[in-house]
Amino acid sequence: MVILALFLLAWFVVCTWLYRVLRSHAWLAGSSTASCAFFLGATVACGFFVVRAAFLVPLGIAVTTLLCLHIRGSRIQAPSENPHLDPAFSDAAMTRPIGAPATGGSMDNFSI
Amino acid sequence: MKTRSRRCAIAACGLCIAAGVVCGQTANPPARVPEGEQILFLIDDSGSMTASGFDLQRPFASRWELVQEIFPKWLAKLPHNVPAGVVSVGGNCGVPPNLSIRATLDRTLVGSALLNMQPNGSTKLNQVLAASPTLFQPGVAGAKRIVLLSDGLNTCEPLGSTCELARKLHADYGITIDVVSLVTDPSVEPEFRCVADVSKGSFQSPQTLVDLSQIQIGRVDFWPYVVMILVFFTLSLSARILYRHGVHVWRWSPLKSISGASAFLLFGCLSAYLVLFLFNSWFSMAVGLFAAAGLLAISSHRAENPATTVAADRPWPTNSLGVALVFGVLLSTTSAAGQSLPASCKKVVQGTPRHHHIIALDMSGSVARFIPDMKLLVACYATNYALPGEEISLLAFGTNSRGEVREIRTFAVPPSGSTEVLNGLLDDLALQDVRATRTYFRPLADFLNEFLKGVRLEPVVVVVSDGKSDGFADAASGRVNFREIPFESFGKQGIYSAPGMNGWRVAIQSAASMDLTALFQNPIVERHPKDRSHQTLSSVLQPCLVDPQVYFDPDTEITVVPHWNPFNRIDSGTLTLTISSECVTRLRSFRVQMRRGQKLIELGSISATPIGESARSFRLPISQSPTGVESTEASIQLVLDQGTSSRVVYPQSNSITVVRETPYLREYGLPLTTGALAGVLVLFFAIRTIGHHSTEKKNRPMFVKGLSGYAVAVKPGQRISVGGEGCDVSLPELPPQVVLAYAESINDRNALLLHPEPGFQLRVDGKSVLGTTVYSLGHQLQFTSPEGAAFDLKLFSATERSVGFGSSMFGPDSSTDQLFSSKEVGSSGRAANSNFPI
Repeated sequence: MVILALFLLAWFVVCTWLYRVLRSHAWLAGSSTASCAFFLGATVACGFFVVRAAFLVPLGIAVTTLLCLHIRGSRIQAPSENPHLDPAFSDAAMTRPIGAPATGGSMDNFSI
Repeated sequence: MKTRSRRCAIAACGLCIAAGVVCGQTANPPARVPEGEQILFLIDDSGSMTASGFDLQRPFASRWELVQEIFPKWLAKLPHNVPAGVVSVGGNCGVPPNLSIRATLDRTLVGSALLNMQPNGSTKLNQVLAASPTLFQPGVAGAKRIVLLSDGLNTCEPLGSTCELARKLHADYGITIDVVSLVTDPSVEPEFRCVADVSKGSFQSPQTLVDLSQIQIGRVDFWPYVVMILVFFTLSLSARILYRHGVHVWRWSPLKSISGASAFLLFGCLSAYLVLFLFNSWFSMAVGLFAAAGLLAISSHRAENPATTVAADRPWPTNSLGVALVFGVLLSTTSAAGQSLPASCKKVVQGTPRHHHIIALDMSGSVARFIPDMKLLVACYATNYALPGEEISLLAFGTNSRGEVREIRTFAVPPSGSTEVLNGLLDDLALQDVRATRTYFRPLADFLNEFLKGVRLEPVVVVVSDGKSDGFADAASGRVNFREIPFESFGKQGIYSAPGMNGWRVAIQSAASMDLTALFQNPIVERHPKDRSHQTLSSVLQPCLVDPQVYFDPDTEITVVPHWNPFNRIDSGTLTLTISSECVTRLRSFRVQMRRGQKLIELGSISATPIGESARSFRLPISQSPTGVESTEASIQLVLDQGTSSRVVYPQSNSITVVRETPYLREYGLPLTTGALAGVLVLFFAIRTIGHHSTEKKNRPMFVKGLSGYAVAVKPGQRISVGGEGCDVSLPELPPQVVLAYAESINDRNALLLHPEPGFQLRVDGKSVLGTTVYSLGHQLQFTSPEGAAFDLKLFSATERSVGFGSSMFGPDSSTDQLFSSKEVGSSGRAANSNFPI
């Protein structure tokens, strides 16, 4: 249990860093991606206590693939360089400084 | 672009295949080493369970009736995949339990087991607990839990502490014991609490039927629920990401994105639920693989159509991602697969030392790369099956160019286990060069046949090899001149693989007693056995060396005599057995039973006794209830103890034994009559002696004396005179023939009845007394004559020794009284007043 707690703590730190990296990219769901990564890691960690959780590996691979595909967009060009992007996302919104409050154009405030 | 998309497609396929492989590998270890909780119910069916009044709502229901009612409900609470067994702990001491069902998934069998049972006898809790590890499914890793329901502590042999036994079971087998106590005696409860505490179980003491029904059976595993919640959160967030990715990257319509995300969420949650709670794995794997492959395929498709995507700016790292995933997961599962063998290494046998494990390892160069795995298997085998006190012989064959066999070492398993010794021996074995060694199985068979002749315990022969013999080719080329046998010839019990084994196999041959299924679960079927013209399996190792037959003959006639006490309804006798063994001498343990009509009577047991070719005789005492029939026929049989199994052996020639019962009167009539007559005579003389003694004691005189002089004997009812000279008790101051009083003996030996002579006034201790009085000896007497003269005297009690020569012991009536005269009786008085007129 101690190892599990330490792992979750470390993984939380990693995911927090991931969030700080990703949140500046407007079209990315930075918080969702970081949260999803955290819960995925927590699921894998807790899965060690459940014998049959090994069968969830394919599902985990699917989620990981999705996350990787999504994070890959962190290198996406700015909307000004991609005219087919939604014009609602301005450069300002795309390049919000770290720590600055989100504006209305940020996808972090976007909700499904 | 085409190259990139091709690479993406290849990577996607590779990822899917890898995932499949990974899932297969991660799925296989649990299949090879099954894991899961097992529960064994130990139900007390001793006589005390018939007591009623446990539940005040149903005061007339016995504890047993409540247990019968509640037991199916307990079973219904268990998950359907948890094997459950039941064993009873009541009945007679020393005999097997009335009910014993190994852990199984057949709920009907277990649930109906208690219905037709009647509680009786003692509580053999320790005996059943000690044997409980064998009632769990062998080879299944995971929690082993015992639910003990009892209303009392152990009352049978072994009489040690149940708590210590529970501690040992927990340490050796990891067994947890949950105690459901129905005891009413508070002094019993600490022992049950101790049992639960030391085995990390729970203690519950229900007071009503409702409490009983609400007891939690088994362990509540909350981890599946935790994982399910985490999976739900993960999939919810993934669905949101998928939606946004679809809308903003893949340019899906919102409806399509929502549909895709919802499907991902729903199917993901469903598959997780199926895996975690319904143990259905294939749907989950299919969903995961389909989702991963679909995502990659969509992504690669979009990459080929940049107009429809925003993410086509640079080479897509699918290849790197796929390769990284493949290697990462393969690495983790490879390490997990390597750990699958130790996971099953847990002691699965118990009891007394029984086996001699002969492990022959192929050390030729062709198996050099398997040596670490072989070591692991041997260590695991020893951990599983070798009990302290048993013996292990480690043999190596194929160690040189002549294919020689040599014994590395034979040792007794120490109490701490054999793993350390074996690892030390195996580490010393040098790896051989492939070209420098030859593997022959015929020399191994010859060696084993010789070796088995010196084995005293039941042998278990385990041959570990890749099965590749050089003997066939060398015999054809004339290099060797013996007829080679195939490796499979050693596997009369079967050829097996084990978890982690790849390219090498294990052949096992032993007596039928060895259950190796905990470790070797994968029998290998020889696909083309007819291709090889090898000898039959039985001819390789002589059967009599592996499993020698036991022959025995009982007496043709047994005479049982009744107990001397006619109220003890037990007849006893002696049975003589002549037992021998085929071929070799082995330590044997067996029980002797007598089948008489429908009854099977246990006559006794003999454990770990050497039985060889020369016949040995055993005398067994027989006790039985008299049948009233003087001569009946019975058959004697031996039940050979083979650990987890037994084998019945019947007499070689005397299949029928006549049991003759001697009637009580015939056996004890004469001595009984003689004894009775002697008793009557003794009684007669005793009564007579006692009566005589009593009469004598009653007529024994009391002895009276004055201050000086001799004592006078006074018989009961006799009267003596007290006065001057000539009286029985005389005072020299008085004139002769003057009598003051007469004293008469009464029942009290310290008192006399005193009759003063007329004219004399009597005072006792200064108090005037009129007429006859009871005088206690030792008190002061004063007689006053009519003339006023006073005479003081005291009479004392005396012993027979105080009687002087001439005194009368028996009074004047006695015949001996003639020897005495009143003059010779000593004076005991003295003049108190000198003015008495003489």
